[in-house]
Amino acid sequence: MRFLSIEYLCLLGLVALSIRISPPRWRSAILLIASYLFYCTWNSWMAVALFAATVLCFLTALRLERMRDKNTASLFTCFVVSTLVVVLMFFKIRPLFCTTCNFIIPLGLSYYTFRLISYVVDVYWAKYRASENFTDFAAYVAFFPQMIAGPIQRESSFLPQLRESAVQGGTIEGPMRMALGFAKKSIVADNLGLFVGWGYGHLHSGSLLPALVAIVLYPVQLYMDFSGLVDIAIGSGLILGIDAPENFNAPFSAKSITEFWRRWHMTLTGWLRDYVFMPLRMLTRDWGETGLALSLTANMLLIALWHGISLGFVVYGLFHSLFLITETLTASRRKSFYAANLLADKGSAILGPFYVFSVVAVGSVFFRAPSLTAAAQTFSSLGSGIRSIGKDFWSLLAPPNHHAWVAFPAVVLLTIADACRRRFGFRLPALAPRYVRWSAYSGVAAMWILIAFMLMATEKGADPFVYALF
Amino acid sequence: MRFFRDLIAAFATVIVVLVLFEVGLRLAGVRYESSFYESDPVLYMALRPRAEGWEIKEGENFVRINSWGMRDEERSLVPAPGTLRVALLGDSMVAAEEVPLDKTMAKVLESKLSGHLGSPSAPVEVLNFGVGGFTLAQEYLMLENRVWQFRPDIVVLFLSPSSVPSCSKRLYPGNFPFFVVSNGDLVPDPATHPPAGSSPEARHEHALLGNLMNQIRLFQLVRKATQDGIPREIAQLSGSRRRTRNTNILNMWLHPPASPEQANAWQVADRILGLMAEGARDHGAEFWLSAIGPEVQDNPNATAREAFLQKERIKTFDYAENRLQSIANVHGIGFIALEHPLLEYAEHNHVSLRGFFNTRPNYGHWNENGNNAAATIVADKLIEYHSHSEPSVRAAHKLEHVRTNDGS
Repeated sequence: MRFLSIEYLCLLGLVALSIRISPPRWRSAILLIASYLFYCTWNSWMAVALFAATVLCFLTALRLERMRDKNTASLFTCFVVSTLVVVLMFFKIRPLFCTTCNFIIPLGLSYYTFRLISYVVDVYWAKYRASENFTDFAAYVAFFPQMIAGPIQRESSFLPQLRESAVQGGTIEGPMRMALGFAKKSIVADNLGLFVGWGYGHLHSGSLLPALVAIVLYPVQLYMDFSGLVDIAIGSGLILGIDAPENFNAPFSAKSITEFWRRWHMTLTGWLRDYVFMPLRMLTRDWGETGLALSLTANMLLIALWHGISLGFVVYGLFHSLFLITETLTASRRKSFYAANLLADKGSAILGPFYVFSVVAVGSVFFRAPSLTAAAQTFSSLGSGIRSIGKDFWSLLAPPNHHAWVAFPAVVLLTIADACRRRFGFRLPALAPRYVRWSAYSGVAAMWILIAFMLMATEKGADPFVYALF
Repeated sequence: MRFFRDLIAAFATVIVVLVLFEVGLRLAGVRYESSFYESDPVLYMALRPRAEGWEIKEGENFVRINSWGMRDEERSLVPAPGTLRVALLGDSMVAAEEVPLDKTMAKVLESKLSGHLGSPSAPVEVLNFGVGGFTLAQEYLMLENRVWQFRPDIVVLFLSPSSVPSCSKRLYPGNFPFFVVSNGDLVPDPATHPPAGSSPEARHEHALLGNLMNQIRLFQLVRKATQDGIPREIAQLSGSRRRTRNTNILNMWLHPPASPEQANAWQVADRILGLMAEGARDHGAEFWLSAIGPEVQDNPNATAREAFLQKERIKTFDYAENRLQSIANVHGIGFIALEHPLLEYAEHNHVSLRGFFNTRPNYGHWNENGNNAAATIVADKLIEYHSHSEPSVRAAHKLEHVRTNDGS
C-alpha cells in the first residue's frame, strides 16, 4: 500500500473514525491492527519479523528494569542492540554480495530498528520506564504513518499521547499538512525529477547545462520529495491523534553545514547524536580535536551509509564531515572574527545559505549518481562549455518535460506555505466562529475529495518517494 | 439567519477550492482525456461535430472535430469542379487523434497526391472518415450513410486486426451494429439496437455536456476517476482482471480460423467488403483496401519480431493480409499492401512508427513517422495507378456518372 493511494486514504479515514467513536482504551489496539494490516499489504512474513522484534524488545525492557546487576544489564542490552544492528546491517549489505538477487527488504526496517534500539537503551539508561502495556508498545513500534520514512519518534513522546483521554484536534491540521506534502511531492519533486533525470541522461550532449541542471535541482527535488513524504506522515499522525516531531526546519536557510544538519532529517540526526555521537564523543574526549573530528566523521559516515552501502555514500559522508569538522574546529575563531567585523557577520548571514546550498548540491552528486565514475562524469561535464546550450535548453523543455516548469513557481509558493505553517500552524483557533469552522471543514473536505479523484485518475500512480527506498 | 450565513460561507469556500484546483490543474498542464464521441442511431457511435479537446493517452495533441463529425478540417459537401476527392475509412489508426491534423495520414496523403494528381484547377482533397473504435460494420454504414454524400472519387478502407473479429458478436462483444448471413443474404442482426441516447434531443444534451466537460479540467478529472479509476480500484481489490478481446483479435490476424465462429466472422467480413465494393461501383468511385497489422509487425526491432513469431509459432505475419488481398481480388477491389513497406520504411530510416513520449516505443498508434510512412506508401500506389489519367478526364467521367445516377 503506497502513501499516495486511495487504499491508504481509506485506511486512514477508517482508523481515524474508529478511534474517534470508540473508547480511548481501544485506541492502541485499533492503531496496532491498522498498522499490521498496512504492513501485511507489503509482506505478511515481514510483519511476523516485525512482531518478533517487538516482542523481543518489549520483554528485554521489562527484564532490564528488574535486573540488579549492572554488568548483566549492560551485556544484555549490548546483545539485544547488536542483534538488531546485525539484522539491519544484513539487509543493508546484502545487495553488495548479490546484485542479481530479488530479495525483499522489510518495510521501514531502519525506522523501527531505531525506535526499538532507542527504547531498549533508554530503559537501560533509566531515562524511561519500560512500558507494561504490550499493545501500546507494539502500536508505537509499528505505527503505520511513520513506517515508510519516519519521522523517528521516541517512545517518550509517543506513548503518553496514546493514553490521553480523547483525540486532540487534527481534523484540519492533519489533512492540510498531508495536502502540503502531496503538493510538494506531486507538483515539485516529480517535475524536478524529470529535469534531473534529463540532466543525468544528457551529460554527453556537449554543453554544461545538463550537469548544471542535475547538480542544482537534485537537492531541491530530494528535499521536496522527502519533506513531502514526512508531511504526509505527520499529517496522517495528526489525524490519528499523534503529534510527531518535525523532521525538517527550512534546511536551505541554514548558514553553515553544521546548522544544515541540525535542520535536515532532524529525527535521524538527533537519534544518531544521542545514541552514536555522544557515546563516541565520551569515549574520545581525551583525544581533543582529533577525537571530535573522529566522532563527527563516524557520525556523518553512519548517516551516509544508512542510505545504502556504496562508495558514493562513503564519499558523500566524508565530503560533509570535512565541512563539519572544519566548521566545528574554526567555530570559536570565526565567532570572534564576526564579533569584531559586523559587516562580515552580515555578509556571512546573507551568503551563508548560498554556501550551504552549493556544498549540499555538490555533495548530492555522490548521493544521486549511480557510481563514482558517473559522479566524476557529472563534474567533468561542467567544463563542456556553452556551445550547444541553446539546443540543450529546448531539449530540456521538450516532452515529457514540457509542463515540468510549473515546479519552479510551485517551489516558491510551497516554501511560503511551509514557512506560514511553521509560524502560524494550520490549527483552527479554539474559539473560532461557526462560519470559520464550517468553511475550514468544507474546504478541506472538498480539497481531499479532489485529491482522491486525482489519485484515482492517475493510472500508474504517483512516482515512488526517493526516501521510501532507504 | 446565522445558519444560512454560515452555510453560504462554507459553500463559498468549496467554490474557492474548486476554482483554485481548476487554475492549478491548468497551470500545471494537467490534462485528462476529452470526450469526442456521441451516440448515433445508425452508426451507434460517431465523432461529435465540433467537439474539441485533448488527446493525452498517446502523445499530447489538441483535437478538433469538424461540423460533419470528421477528424478533419471543414469540408464542403459538394466538391469544387475538377476536385479529386479521396475518402479514408477506418478506425483510430486513420482518425490519428494522437498527432496534429497536418501530420495525419489523410493530410500528408492530400499533400502528396496534390503534387502529382492535382493542379490549381483540379485540387485533391483527402477526407478523413476514420473513427476510433470503429468496426467493419460501422465502416460500411459510414460509407453508405455519410461518405457518398461527399461524392468521393476514391475510397480507401483501412482494416486493422480488430476489423474481422468485430464482425462477430461473440468474438467482439459490445454495443456495435452487427450483420448476420440469413438465407444467403447479409442482414442487420435483429438482436442489436442503437444505444440509448441516440435521439436528437439526447444527442443535443450530450453534446452540450460533452463540450462543457472538454472545457473544464475538474469535470474531466471526475469523469476519468469515476469511469476508469473506481472500476480499476475495485478490480485491484477484488483481484479480478479485465477481460479483453485481444486474444481473438491477434489470433484471427495471424492464424486461419480455429472455430466456426471465426470462420463466420471472415464470411461476414467478406460479404461486407463485397457490399462496399458494389456501393463504390454504383457511385462511380474506385475502392481500395489496405490492412494495418499489429504493432509488432512494423516494429523495426528484428529480435522483438522474431520472438513474437516464435511465441505464436508462425513464420510470417501475413495470414490476414494475404486473405484480405484474395477477398479484394474476388470483389475487384484494389489492394494496397502496407505492412512490408512500412517495416522497410522504419528499418531504412531507423525510426519507430509507433510510440510517443509518454508511451513505450513501437507501441500503440502511429506517431508522426507512422502516419507519414503510411501516407507515402498509399500515395505512391495511387499515383502509380492514376499516372495515366488526366484530372479533366476524371472530372468529366464523374460528372457523367452523377448525371446518369440523377437521371438528368
